[in-house]
Amino acid sequence: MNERYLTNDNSPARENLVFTLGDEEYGINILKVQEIRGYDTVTRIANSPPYLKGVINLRGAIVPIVDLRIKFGLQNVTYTPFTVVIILNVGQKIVGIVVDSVSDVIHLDPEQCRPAPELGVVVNTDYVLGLGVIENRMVILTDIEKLMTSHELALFEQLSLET
Amino acid sequence: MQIDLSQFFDIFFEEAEEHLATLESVLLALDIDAPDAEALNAIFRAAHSIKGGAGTFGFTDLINVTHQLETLLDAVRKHTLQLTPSHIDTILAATDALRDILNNCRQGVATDPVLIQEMEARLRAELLPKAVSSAAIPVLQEEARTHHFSIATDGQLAWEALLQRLTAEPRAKITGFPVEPDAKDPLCIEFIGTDSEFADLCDSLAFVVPPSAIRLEHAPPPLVDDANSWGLFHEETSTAVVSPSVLEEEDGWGLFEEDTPPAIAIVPSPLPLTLIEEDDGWGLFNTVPTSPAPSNATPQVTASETTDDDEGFGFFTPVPQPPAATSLATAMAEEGDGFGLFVPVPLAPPVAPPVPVVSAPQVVAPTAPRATAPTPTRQGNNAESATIRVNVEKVDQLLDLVGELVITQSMLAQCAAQLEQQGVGNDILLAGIKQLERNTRDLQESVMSVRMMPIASVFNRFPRLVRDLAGKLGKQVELHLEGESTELDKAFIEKLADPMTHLVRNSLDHGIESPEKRRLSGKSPIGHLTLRASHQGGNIVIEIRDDGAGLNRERILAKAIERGLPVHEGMPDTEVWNLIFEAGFSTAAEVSDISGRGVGMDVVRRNIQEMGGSIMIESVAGVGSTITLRLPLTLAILDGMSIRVNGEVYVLPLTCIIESLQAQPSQYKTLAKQGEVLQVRGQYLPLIRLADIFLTQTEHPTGSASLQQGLCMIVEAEKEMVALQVDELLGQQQVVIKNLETNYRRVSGISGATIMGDGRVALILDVPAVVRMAKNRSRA
Repeated sequence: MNERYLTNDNSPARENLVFTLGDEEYGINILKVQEIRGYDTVTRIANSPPYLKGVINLRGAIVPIVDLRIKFGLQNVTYTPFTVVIILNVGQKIVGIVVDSVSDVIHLDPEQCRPAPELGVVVNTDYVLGLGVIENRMVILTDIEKLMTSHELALFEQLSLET
Repeated sequence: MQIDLSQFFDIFFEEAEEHLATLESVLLALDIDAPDAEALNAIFRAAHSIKGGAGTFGFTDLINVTHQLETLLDAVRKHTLQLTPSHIDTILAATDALRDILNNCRQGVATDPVLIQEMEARLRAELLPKAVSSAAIPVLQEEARTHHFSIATDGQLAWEALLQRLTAEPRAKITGFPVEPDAKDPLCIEFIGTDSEFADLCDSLAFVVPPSAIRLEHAPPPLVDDANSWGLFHEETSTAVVSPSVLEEEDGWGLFEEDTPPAIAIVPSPLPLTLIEEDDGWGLFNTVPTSPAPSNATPQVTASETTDDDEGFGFFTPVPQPPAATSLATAMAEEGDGFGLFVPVPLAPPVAPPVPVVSAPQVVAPTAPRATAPTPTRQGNNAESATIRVNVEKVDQLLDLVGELVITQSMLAQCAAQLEQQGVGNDILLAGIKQLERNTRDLQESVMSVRMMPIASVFNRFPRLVRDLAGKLGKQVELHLEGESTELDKAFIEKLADPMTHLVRNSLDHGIESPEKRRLSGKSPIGHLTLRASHQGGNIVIEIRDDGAGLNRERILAKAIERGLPVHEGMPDTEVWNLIFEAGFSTAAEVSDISGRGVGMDVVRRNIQEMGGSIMIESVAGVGSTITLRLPLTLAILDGMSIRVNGEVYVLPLTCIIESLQAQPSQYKTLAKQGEVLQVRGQYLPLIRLADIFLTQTEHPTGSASLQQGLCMIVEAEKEMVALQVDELLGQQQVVIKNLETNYRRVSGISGATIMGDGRVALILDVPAVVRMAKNRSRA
């Protein structure tokens, strides 16, 4: 029930973790973030879409790793010791996303949030909750749960249908 | 206070359900004609525990019903009420009602008071008509009394030893010697003591005389009573019967023989005394309070001596009417050593019979003229064991942690090995790591064993199910359970229940015929259903066997043709039987509420396959059918061979591997557009290149370059042999199976994942699925 509430709730969260994909900054609800770790070798899964890098062993749990850079068609996808994986808790599942970098955690008041634009960002606007503006920065506030459980990503079998 | 107690509710509910299950299983195992005293006590205890718990937590509905149940059980246990099938039905109904009430309590819903009152009334009704007034309940203790017995003298007795034993026992008094040394007159002895003491004496005498020579005489009452006691015997009966007994009983009692008056003289127990004694000792006569009990023994003796066997022990062979003494005596007769009679009857409530020879049945054997042999005391699963209740999640967590520990340990071992290679090894470190390895393995095994449970917890539901179903279907079925202590993973236990229930129902409904039909086909009217579990290699094998009609090949084929399935007359039986696993397949002439709708067998097979098991049917028309379920030992651990394909490590379940070989280029053959085959010792096996199946994005199909150096694993998938080509063979190891679907989704060709010694994830191959994938590819 909690997920439903969060997924359908269109108001952005107050505390957001900001990461970059290419030139854009994205903010996600910090409560969805379990941890941040470096990119480790993954076990590749055959016949899976390119953005699914594979699975890793996260202290005994088998966790799939999605490279959002590949998913959103960014250029020069490289894996360095500084490549960052954000481990998320979405629904009942744990999943990791690869991003270019993690910058900071920002606090947003409602008045700092603008409605989502119709186009112009790499992420499908369905998953954009709004824009957060802090001084000169613009952060795209993303409904990460909706994105991760979407049919588009085909990460899970049933989850997106349930909610 | 209520809040404080409520945290224990769950425990109480669980315990109560367990007690109910115990009660039910013990009850169903009970031999109605000769109930085992210990079993009766166990049933009573179960009911009592529920009542006690309900009292503590204030579930009045439960208390009311259990109280009545307890009263009924107590009467049965104390032998003031003899058990009948109707009692069993009522008690079972009561357990059902209790379960309902329990569920209602759990959900905090009030139970319909009418229901409770009805149940109480029913229980009370069972009790009332046959119960005796409280005054008649026998005194619950053993009393010393006079026992008379005789020892047949056929000239072969060890007289000296016998006399020595007898004189060593001060309470025994020899009352009658044979008149002449070589005469057949018996040695008569009088003994004063309790029943158990007497049994002890008999035991000790058995060292010197054959047990068959020892005869018991229960203080025979004066003969005058015989005639009018039962109305069964005419005035002249006493004399008429006595004479044949004299003729036949060569080494008789000396009781009825005219020329041995001492025999009668030495049994002078007065009538009133006998009455009381009999009452105390056996509680027999309560049920027929009007009949003059004391004369009981004698008429039977005389009546049966005329007819009965030369063993001389059958004198209590039941005449239709007489109460309990009959079955007692017959039980004794069957025992052979003749001591059964003296085993004290457990009348005092908590005292179990000290001698487990025959728990003297207190019941009239209404049907069988010769009561069945007493069942051996059951060493039951009702034995209380020291257990604790732990949430499964905690065990699983423990298992996960141990898995992690194993990984850490193997990482350490690798490090140590590297250090040693570099020449900086430390003996103490190495020794420590070796020990860690051993301990970890032991720990892993122990934690695994925590998850193992005896299959009895699945089997135990079937006695009731079979009883109910057989009653509903009007069939007579005897259920046999074998190998109940076979242990398997708890996860299986839960998943097995439904498929097995289905199979058992099927066997009862379609397999075992009605008694008439069985009689017509020359079988015993009672059908037999056997559930057997056993270990076979790395598998648990569960058999469900019935001796019913077997599967009907023609009917199945006809049905298959009707449904448009690809079948032909010449199909082997096994393939025909497998048709019944097709969805919606039912040949049942009519649909009953038990089975026959054709949903199910496909579900059963799917359930079993999901557990990594297989299902097999054997059937012979008219003889019966056997369904065999084969399951891996555990869900959580797998013996596997790790292989490398396209740079990734995969685990191949060891159970499906037949052999591995380095194939020569000449062994590869291609079939035009049908893919490749591998020639192995004259057999052509389909060849599947795993590298082509498990393509990852960055790799391109490995060309024929790797073909030459490739290794082939011959595997069996769904009864089909297939060669899998792999890049490298890494070694065999036990792996902890992890579910990929926990955080991801199902991947075709992969049954799960595991974590290898280096902490990396390896995927476990689902061989049948891989074969299917390859077939689809070659078709495409």
